Amino acid sequence: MEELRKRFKSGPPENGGLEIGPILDWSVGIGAATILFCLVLITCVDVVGRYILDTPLTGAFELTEVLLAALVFLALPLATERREHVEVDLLGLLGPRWNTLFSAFAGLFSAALLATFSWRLASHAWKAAQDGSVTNALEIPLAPFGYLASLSCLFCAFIAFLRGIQPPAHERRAKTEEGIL
Amino acid sequence: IAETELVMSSWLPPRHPIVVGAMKPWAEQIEEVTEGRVTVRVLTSPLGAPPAHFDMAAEGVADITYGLHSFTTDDRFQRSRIGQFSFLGDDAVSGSKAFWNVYANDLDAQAEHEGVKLLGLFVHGPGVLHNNVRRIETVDDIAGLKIRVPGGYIADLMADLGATTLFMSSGEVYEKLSRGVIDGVTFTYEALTAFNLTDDLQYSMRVPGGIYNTTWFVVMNDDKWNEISAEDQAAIEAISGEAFAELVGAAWNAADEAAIEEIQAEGIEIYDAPAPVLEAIKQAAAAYEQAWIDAIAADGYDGAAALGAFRAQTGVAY
Amino acid sequence: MTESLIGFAVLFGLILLRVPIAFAMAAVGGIGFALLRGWEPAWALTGQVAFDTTLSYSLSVIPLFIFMGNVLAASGVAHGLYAGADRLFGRMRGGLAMASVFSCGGFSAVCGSSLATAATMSKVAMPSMRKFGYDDRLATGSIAAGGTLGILIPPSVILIIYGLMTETDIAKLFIAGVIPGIIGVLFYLFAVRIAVAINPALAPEGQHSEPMTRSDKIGVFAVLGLFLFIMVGIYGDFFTPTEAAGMGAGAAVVIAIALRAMNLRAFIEATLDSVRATAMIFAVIIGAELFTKFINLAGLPDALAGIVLDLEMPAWAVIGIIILIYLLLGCVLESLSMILLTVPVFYPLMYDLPFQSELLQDPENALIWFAIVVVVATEISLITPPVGMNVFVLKGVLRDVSLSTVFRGVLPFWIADIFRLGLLITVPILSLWLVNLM
Ligand code: NA
Ligand code: NA
Repeated sequence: MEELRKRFKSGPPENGGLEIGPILDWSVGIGAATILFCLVLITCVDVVGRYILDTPLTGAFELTEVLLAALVFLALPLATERREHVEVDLLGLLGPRWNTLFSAFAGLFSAALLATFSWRLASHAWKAAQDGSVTNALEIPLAPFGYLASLSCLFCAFIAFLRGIQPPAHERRAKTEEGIL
Repeated sequence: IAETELVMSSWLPPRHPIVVGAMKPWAEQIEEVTEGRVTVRVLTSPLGAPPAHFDMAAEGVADITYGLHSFTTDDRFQRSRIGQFSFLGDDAVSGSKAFWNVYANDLDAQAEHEGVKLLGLFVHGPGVLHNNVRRIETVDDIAGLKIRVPGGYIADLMADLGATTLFMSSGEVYEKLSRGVIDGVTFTYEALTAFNLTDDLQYSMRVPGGIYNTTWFVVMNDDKWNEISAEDQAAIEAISGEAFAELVGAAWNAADEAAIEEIQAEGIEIYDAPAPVLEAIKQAAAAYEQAWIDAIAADGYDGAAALGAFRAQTGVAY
Repeated sequence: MTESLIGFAVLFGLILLRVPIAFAMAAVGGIGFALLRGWEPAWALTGQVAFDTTLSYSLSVIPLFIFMGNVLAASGVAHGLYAGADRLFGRMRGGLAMASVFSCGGFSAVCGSSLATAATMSKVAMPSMRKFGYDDRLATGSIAAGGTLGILIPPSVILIIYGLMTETDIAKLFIAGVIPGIIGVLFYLFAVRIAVAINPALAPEGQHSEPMTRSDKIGVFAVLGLFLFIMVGIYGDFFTPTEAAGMGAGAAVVIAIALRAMNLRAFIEATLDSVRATAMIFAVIIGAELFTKFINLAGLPDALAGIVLDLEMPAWAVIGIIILIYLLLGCVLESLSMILLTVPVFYPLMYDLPFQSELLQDPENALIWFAIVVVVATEISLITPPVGMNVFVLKGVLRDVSLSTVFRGVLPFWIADIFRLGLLITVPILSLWLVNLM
């Protein structure tokens, strides 16, 4: 997959926005990767443990749930920065000026939506904190994960906003790397 | 023409006995008693995850929702826990009616259902301890059994009795049981057949009035409730509350009866808890009941009297 | 009904304006919900859906199955598959294209995603087909089409999502995909044969293929072993389909380490690729959740069922219309968004349609069969112009090839797919035979 990316490596200016990819990879990227390893480990320890030691991992279910939430929202800025959200590039044939216009619109639209999500997630998390919502068995508080989600969306909104006010000058066909099903 | 259309979000499968036997008939009754001024549309698929359903009614995402009080792990429904204990009722009609009468009247259930109009309260049939390892004769037989529990009181009780308790969604139970991850489960008879567990279980231990129960609510968005005329409100209340408890209880009972037949046909042994086991459950249960009584006493409620009234209404002696 | 149709229209408008599909669905769903029920409820719904969707045990299989495929891709086992398939078909005209198709099918058995299958195999198969003078059309077409098998042959992320949406047993869905997947490989092999028979210039005479190296053989065994590990694990009741994803990912890491074919950097890249793909997929799922909640509230599924039942339409006509809708949507959308958007609308019909086939009168069977039909129909979307994701992957790897070349290249495979779809619709036993053996 990396080879695919290198071919596009002429880079973020082409996509508009900032050159923050490497910083993201080494911060939230490593965080999300670590969580992914944890998810693998939890399942393997749970399954192997119950055959060899006859003791299932109590709370594997809940740990998996909250870790998945953390993984998704840590990784969201990575996908947004690389512009990996699926888009359809049909009107791209209209010419570069239209292209820039569409990019600007899509960027600002995405920014507005992501900012709304950030606000709603923060409010949801605040409510969870007020109610004292925790998971059933391990009693892991849910509010921090909501705040994480909110921050992540805010950051994504920022990335999309930059792309909106500073759209790429010459748009290439939408990047379609691996990942979609 | 309907003046008010209410949207009910239903998260149980559309063919679940409660949906078919209670929610939809009740929705139709509402239309009848208000002469069509109020109608209820039961959605095919829910507007949110099951645990979100109380808040969904409060926030107006849907107008009417139902759900379990134990969905929320916070202290919002502390007094509702009266309906989770052991020895409460041998069938869902008497249990649900007693739960409504005691919780709604003596323990001010409406106050705990903040932001919504409380229309119904109910419990399911008596909870039973099922396993596929051994017929439990003494408390020691419970030790080491890996039992799936829904959380709350029954989780603590089973742990006290020596079981290893595990949590998972009810949909996961089949996969985990057939793969030997768990040895048993606390479930109603109905759930046993609904989740296809009859091939993987052998013993069902019954306790007078059930080893546990689960409490449910039916609520309506406050603003929507206030839109309805006083006359129609009264008409709806007349078919809700205790009348609804009877309706939904009957649906659970019918499901339990059908399930018991199937369970027996599959050769699963249903037996009464032997005296020493029952004694141990009573002792452990008493401690949890006392803790609950103490907790709500702080708010000025008489939990002991409420439990007494509950059992007097269902006629459970143990 | 009207509200739903307006919603779909606005959604497609936004998508055409190049708003990411996930965000377009979320916006239309949220605003549509607000217009029907008020802003306060819509705000509440937005936060709740965005959070609750990610907090899901069942959906944890998505990152895990993707990770498994990416680790295997990075560890080079795909080359072994290709070399092995080359031994089978190399001597025929078009043999390398057939080998591409065949090894795509093989890699699908350990990879849950179609695009990852196409991306992986293109790096392996393209160089040798170019070296031996294959026409770019046939070369790229065979890989783009072969890649679509990734979501039909288990494991499949799409089938898992379908199972969760419709409460269908995932183990049964997986096994149901096996025979249709094998049929897919066979039809594609045929498609290559026919294409080179019609236009021999597409491919050179068969070559004597190089002998398989030791590491090629190990690669084949690794893929075969991992596939068996997952299938025996699930169907031997050792672990659940959900756990299979974690176990498979763990096994893939062990294989990669044992083969010593992957350095730390490649490993980190495979992991980062997986988490980004996960975020992207969840964005689509959250968007689709909001959109379908709006559609559900607006009453489209009920209205549709009402129309179908009132008109007493025969089952084949209804299925025919649904498939037509999929093929049309498939011009623009890709499989995940299509499934998330449409399955909630259509699947309730499977309970009510008056099927002629006795098999399908059992709603559980009907739902499984429908899953396979829908997945094949949406697979086709991946190679249908103007927007075909698998085609774009090939175009991304080979920058000197034009999109129209790849689209022309997939034409024989596209036709093969239509035949396969017809076969699977008319002969449900092909999807249900293994299920009913369980
Ligand atoms: Na696959
Ligand atoms: Na397409």
